Amino acid sequence: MDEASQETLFLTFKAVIEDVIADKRKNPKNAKTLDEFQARINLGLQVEMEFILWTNLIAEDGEYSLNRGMLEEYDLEIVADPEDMMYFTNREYSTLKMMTSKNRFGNRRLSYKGGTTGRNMGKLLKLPKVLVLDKK
Amino acid sequence: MSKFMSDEWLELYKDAINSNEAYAKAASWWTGDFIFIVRASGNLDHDIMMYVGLNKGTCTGVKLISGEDEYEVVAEGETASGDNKIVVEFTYEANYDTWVKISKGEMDPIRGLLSGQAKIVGNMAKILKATDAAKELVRSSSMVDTEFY
Repeated sequence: MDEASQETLFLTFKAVIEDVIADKRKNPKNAKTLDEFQARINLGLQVEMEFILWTNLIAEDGEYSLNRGMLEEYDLEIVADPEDMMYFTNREYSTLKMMTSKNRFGNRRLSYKGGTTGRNMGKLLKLPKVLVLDKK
Repeated sequence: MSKFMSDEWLELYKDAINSNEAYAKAASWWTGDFIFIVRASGNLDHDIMMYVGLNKGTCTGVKLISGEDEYEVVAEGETASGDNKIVVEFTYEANYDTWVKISKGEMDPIRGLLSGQAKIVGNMAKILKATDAAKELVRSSSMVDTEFY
């Protein structure tokens, strides 16, 4: 994947995260969840069998930022095809489907492991509340 | 057979969208016009830009435009900054070779976005709620008998 495509993908994915959070903020019921979620997540976007574009999502004090690269200190490491992440975000793929079925590369749609701060399964389980759009 | 994104092709594309029942169903709630941007690559030596009006499952109009200064991307509910510009909510941009793959049904428009080969300007959350509509919108172009460059 050439650098221009990597940057385009990163900017698209960044827009997805920012717009999903903004959309969820429209519903006051989501405010507490969005404000209280604190996490540093290395998020790998697998776009080719042999290539993962590494990004990181930092959630702190109600602010969410997505940047390129990996964090040295992090709570979770997640790898997914960005297409699957998008279908997870728009509710087409459930959390169960993401965790149990395989993607086009033969890996789990959402593979995860703990970070330098521990296993942090609680943070993993809270991710859908933060990143999945509300029902229409 | 019509030349890709010629005036004749645009009218056939509009008819294809409006006869696509799957699009009408998937986009029954959708409002938000697009500019499709085709960047020169491969056999195409110039950029092409096309306005597509979309409202609640129907295509309200299509037209070729000459450049970026003819349109403005404005978020839903906000007001355009100037007069005499086409106001749209979204642009979808890719090079010609990618558009050909998309138009022939060889590449999903969503995969185009998430492989870095296409880009979109506009509210992604709204797009995410309409992925089926987006696919049908593009699939409609494969219903037009197209002569590519």
